[in-house]
Amino acid sequence: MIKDSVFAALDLANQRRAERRRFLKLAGGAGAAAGGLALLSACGGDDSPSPTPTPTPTPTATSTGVPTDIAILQLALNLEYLEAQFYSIAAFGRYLPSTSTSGTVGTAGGVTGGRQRIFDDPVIASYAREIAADEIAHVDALRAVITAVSPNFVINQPAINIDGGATGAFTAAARAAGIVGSTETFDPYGSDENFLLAAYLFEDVGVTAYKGASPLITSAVYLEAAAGILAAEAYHAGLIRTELFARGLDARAKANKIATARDTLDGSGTLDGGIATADASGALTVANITPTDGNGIAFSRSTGQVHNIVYLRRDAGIGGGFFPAGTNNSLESLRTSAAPTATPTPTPTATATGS
Amino acid sequence: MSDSDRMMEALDARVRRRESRRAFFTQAAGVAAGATLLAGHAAAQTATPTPTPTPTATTAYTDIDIVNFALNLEYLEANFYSFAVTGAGLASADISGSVGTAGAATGGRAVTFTDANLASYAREIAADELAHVRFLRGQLTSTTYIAQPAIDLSVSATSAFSNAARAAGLISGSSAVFDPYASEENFLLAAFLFEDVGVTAYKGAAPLITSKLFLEAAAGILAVEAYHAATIRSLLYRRGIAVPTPNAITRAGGISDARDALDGNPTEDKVRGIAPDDDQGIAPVTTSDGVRSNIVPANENAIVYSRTPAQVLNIAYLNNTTATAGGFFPAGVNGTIKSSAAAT
Repeated sequence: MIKDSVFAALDLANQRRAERRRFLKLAGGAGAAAGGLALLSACGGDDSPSPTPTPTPTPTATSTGVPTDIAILQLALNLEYLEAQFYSIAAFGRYLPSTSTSGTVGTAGGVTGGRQRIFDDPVIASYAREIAADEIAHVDALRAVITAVSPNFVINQPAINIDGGATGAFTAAARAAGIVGSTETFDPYGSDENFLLAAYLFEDVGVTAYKGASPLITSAVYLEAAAGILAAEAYHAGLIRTELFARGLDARAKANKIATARDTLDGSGTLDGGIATADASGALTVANITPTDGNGIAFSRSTGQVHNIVYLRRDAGIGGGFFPAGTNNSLESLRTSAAPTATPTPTPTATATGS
Repeated sequence: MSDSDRMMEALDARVRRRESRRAFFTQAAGVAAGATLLAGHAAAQTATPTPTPTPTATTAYTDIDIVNFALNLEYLEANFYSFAVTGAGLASADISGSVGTAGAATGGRAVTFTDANLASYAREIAADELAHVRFLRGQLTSTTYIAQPAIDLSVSATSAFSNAARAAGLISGSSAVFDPYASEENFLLAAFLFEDVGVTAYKGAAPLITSKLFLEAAAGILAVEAYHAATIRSLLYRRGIAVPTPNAITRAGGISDARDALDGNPTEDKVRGIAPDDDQGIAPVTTSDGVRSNIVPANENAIVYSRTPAQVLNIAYLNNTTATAGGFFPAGVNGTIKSSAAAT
């Protein structure tokens, strides 16, 4: 890694001199392919913070010839498409331009639902605009990084459902979480608080997805970029969770239910935390803005577990929920949700922070 | 020259860059992505002669070096929040160590919180930071983890907090004092001073870590620092909108500018998130779509910034050039990574 970093730094200067194309070609066969898919199951669902020696994975080419690092970036791009479309329509009243959604890999799909939210609170409106701009920037940045390796590796935006109606993915998620009744509708564009809850549904998942993917990335440059996106998602999540906590007991209870629903979907012990825990009187007054394990460390999710949540399904498969036709990826395994684990016993409340 | 003199000098000398954060994406992404791939190729052919490396990338750190470096920062943060919440610093069992010179964290005291939510946030952050101290110590052995170095959390005209606040424009005059424990807003500003730095420190260290498991743990601590930072930044933002004078948004901006003046001017890399202007306050931006907040300090790719360990020490030492002690660490940090970066 250190050596990579040195060479990467050196090359930044070299690049400006020339022959980028030639480098890319050379590198495509030599060092770009990454191994580490075997680590998915080993690291992704691992709550234990105690490192144990693990052999360094041997770099392997994927069967499709797409470097694994790129497949990880493709996975991230799917999530960013979803987030960017949701925030863009809510904050700006428009979807992403086709130049930001078209690609070569996978089936292109449209966006179902979504509309602009006219926020009651101008501060929340300003937050929505910031997050929307960030997520759009993430889409464009990931597309540019992938394009630099090969334009043929850029994925199409898959079909996305961000509908606020009775048959929309948000309503399905909200019913599963129990924040609306089994026949009620949850409209994320219908109130400031609903918007915050919908945003909250996504943001912590983004954090756990990038963290879970971090050890799979072999390139030091991609790693640092991914860490920077992870940090941005964590800032977003911290902002949304703080806003929800400040709204009071009802919002805290709803947010906690969403965390529990996510944790139920991903099937592997406690990988999530609500925004508040109960005090001695049973009231949700103890802040848990940061969802962590007992070591004050944020959770990881495997790529399969991330798909469980965005597909709103507990079993293995491709498609459902926010991605009705599945995500797009050069690696089929990175489109697939995880099979249920033997002991899916989600803890209904947040883990105690740092205790 | 005193710490504050150095900071003021750095501020005066600073060429303020006011690039639009969210300008359109440039070619930088493609350039750096190519760099990665070349790196992989070159690394595979180890016989390849290497030209002179850039200064920031020449030092090879072990994972123990990195963990100990982070532990210094966590000692600082954990003690600050512990004092603010409980009136006492960390227990001796959490700060002892056989590497380096042991020192005390001095001068902190409890904040009187009137906002119950803020009090709860502070307790949560204090618990997280203590957990980080314990986790990092737990990754090493009693013969390899560092002792807590001397830490200045005091309140006086020459304290680290006052020197930082003076450089940030929060106070003026050599006899003025910044007391981070005197009010909720001062507490938030002091927390703001630390949190974003923690994020950039873990991010900058990430590519230096060899062990994949350490890496994933570091990513998890990075995330936690970013959650904390967002809480602090959003509370200051709302406060700045509600209370015009003194304005929390303006004051946070002063701290951001001071940090940026201290940490040098590395060459920009828009994919890795490295930049000469690698810090941002919380002032909102007016766009054609309306007012946009700035809770996330990030470049135009919405990638949060990195700092090298040496740049982080520039801020911790309140010194914009090479030093091995100062500011919040009057006797320096412990471990092998001790020196701040030369001025650029």
